Amino acid sequence: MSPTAMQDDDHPQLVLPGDRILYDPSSQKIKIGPGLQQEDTLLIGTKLGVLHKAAGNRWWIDSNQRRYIPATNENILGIVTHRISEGYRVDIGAAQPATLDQFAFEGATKRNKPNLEVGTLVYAKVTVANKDMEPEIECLNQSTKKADGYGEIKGGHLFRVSLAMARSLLDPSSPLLKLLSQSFPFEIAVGMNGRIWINAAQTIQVITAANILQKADGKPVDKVEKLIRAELKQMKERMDVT
Amino acid sequence: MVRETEPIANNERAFVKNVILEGLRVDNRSAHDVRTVKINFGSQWGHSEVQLGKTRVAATVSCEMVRPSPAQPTEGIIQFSTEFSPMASPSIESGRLSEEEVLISRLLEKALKRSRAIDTEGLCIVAGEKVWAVRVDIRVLDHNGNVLDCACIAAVAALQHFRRPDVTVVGEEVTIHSLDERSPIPLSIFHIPICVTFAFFSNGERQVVDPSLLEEQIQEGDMTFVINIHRELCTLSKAGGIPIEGSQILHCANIAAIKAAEITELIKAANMESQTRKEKKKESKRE
Amino acid sequence: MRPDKRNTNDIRVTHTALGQLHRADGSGRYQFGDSSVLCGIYGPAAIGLRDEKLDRAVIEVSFSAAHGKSTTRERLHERLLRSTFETAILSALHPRTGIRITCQTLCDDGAVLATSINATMLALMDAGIPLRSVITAVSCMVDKEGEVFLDPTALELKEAQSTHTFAFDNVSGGVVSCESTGVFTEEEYESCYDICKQGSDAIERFLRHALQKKLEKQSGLDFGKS
Repeated sequence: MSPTAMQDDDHPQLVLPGDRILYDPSSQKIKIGPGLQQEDTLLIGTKLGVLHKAAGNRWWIDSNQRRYIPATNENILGIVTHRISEGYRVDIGAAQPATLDQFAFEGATKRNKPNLEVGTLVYAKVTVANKDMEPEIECLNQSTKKADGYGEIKGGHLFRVSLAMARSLLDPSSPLLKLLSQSFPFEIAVGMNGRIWINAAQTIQVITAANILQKADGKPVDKVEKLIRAELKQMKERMDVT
Repeated sequence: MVRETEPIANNERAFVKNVILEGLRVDNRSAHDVRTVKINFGSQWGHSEVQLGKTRVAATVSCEMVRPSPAQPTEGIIQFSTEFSPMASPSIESGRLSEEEVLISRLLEKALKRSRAIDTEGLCIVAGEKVWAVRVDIRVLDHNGNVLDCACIAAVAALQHFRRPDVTVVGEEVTIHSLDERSPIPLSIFHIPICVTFAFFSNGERQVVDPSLLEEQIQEGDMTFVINIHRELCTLSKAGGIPIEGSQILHCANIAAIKAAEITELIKAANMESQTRKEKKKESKRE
Repeated sequence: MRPDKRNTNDIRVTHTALGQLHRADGSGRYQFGDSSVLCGIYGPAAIGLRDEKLDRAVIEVSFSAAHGKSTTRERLHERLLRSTFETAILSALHPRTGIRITCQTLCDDGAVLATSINATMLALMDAGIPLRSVITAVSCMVDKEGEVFLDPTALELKEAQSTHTFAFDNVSGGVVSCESTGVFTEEEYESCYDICKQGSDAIERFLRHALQKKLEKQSGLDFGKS
């Protein structure tokens, strides 16, 4: 008999691998995401984390994973590692490198296509993600045929955070980014693979922003707010001196 | 079998170089700041676990009674073994030595063994017959740059924490007393050598102390000082990299002496704390 | 009476920690009293073409003792750990990849195999590797008078006639792996099984509680009572 995860509607639900998650298969139709598995009529958790239920009856486990597992339509930051005849091989932090076709750029033709060096940072979208196939990415919005922000990213700084942190930063109401943006303007690109690119007018601003986001990783926002304000104050003081 | 290393983007490379040229560092330290050092001791004698920022190294000291080498019949034996655990970095394979691993182990051994920091004569039990062989196992658990300095702190801290059992010698008869029977004896340590590593950037014009992993991957060269609290230099190692001027070496040596003194104090304080905690535990047990 | 004043069916004070390693994809530390093991996980990661399996992830384990050169005992532990976790990991979800498990004994005061299994379990959960169930392990020993002691220390093990380590799966409740050494009777083996089953159930409850506390602290959420 499987252990059953605690069911309590007032509280979020903690799930351990092997826990049975209560749901009624006759009345509920749900779409399951990462960390959940169906075994006959049972719903079983496979990861340690918190059960999330979102609109459209989508259920998944929010875990603390650091290794990226590609999923289609996710935006990621990749680093070109090899040039191959049909395009590029790009490291996206997953088990297998992704392929980026040479024509998967805005307005790319046989005569006119971007020439990326090894080590180039690209912002791209995952188009093929399947456990049995190597992932494919492209730097093009298929519906508009425009770059729409995808493509090579120049300057700035790249650093790594947990996947959960990256997801939380993609939330338009992210309190962390709000706090930072009150202090100084900056550009940011968040990859679902836990990579973050940031650029600002001054080097010290980039350093401070990167350090704040890394320090806040894995902690609730209200617990780090004080720390963030202190760091920002320190940055201002250092900027006034120079 | 799992093989991979995360590539570095050109943006990162350029950023690190720029930042250092501006006199700043990517992790918001100043050029001569060492990352936070955390020293923990295990509940048994001679176990230490040290964190230098995100780098983590564990050291274990153990001893056994052996026959001394005929060349040095009155000297005990001290042995160091450094191993990179495969958990330390994705590129480390178990059972195969990387170049970095060999370099670090050699330098560490030089720093600790050849600087004659530990009194080996005090490890003799019966001349020509029985001596203590002390073994220091150093395990790198998390590689986030400057493993050498961290490993050195771990080894030194563990050696200071270590106690060997007391012995009585009656003629040829040697009795080893258990730790409960008689209070165990610390090693006699002459001085504490500390490693301080510098990384060079901007054609050797800029240097930073205690490089992080990212800085290590981008550096143009590095240099390690092994120095003690008395400002005595034990080892100096600069294995290739960008050429630097003599005056810069002196400048770095002065900084290294200050850092070594600070780190020595940290180790001492951590040792004292663990000792008082041990005594408290003993007292509470008695009650 | 045991040297540390425990009852025969008491486990030592246990400590757990998750995610202490920054480089690894997941890590866990487990302590039974003074016995302490740290485990780090990499994966699912790229693997050499020669080693990859088309239908599942390859699991490799390396285990090292607190000090000294590695011996056949360490190889035996590696084998046991691998076979234990090959059943627990849903390896078909990540074909053509490798999952690397590394256990490092930091301090050995008996029951290192059980400590390693529990540390590995924590690390796998931290790494988000898909798992079928939670596996918990505990050791026990039988002394010369035939009395059974749960979770023995190195000092107690000197008097052991036989030692046993059992790993249980919390979904089926059955034994996933066991290792026994020494001379023992069938009755002794059965009482060892019983005492270890109870011990491992207690560890499972403890883990659930500890993980809940940890996740609450991390996320700022309140999961209610455990």
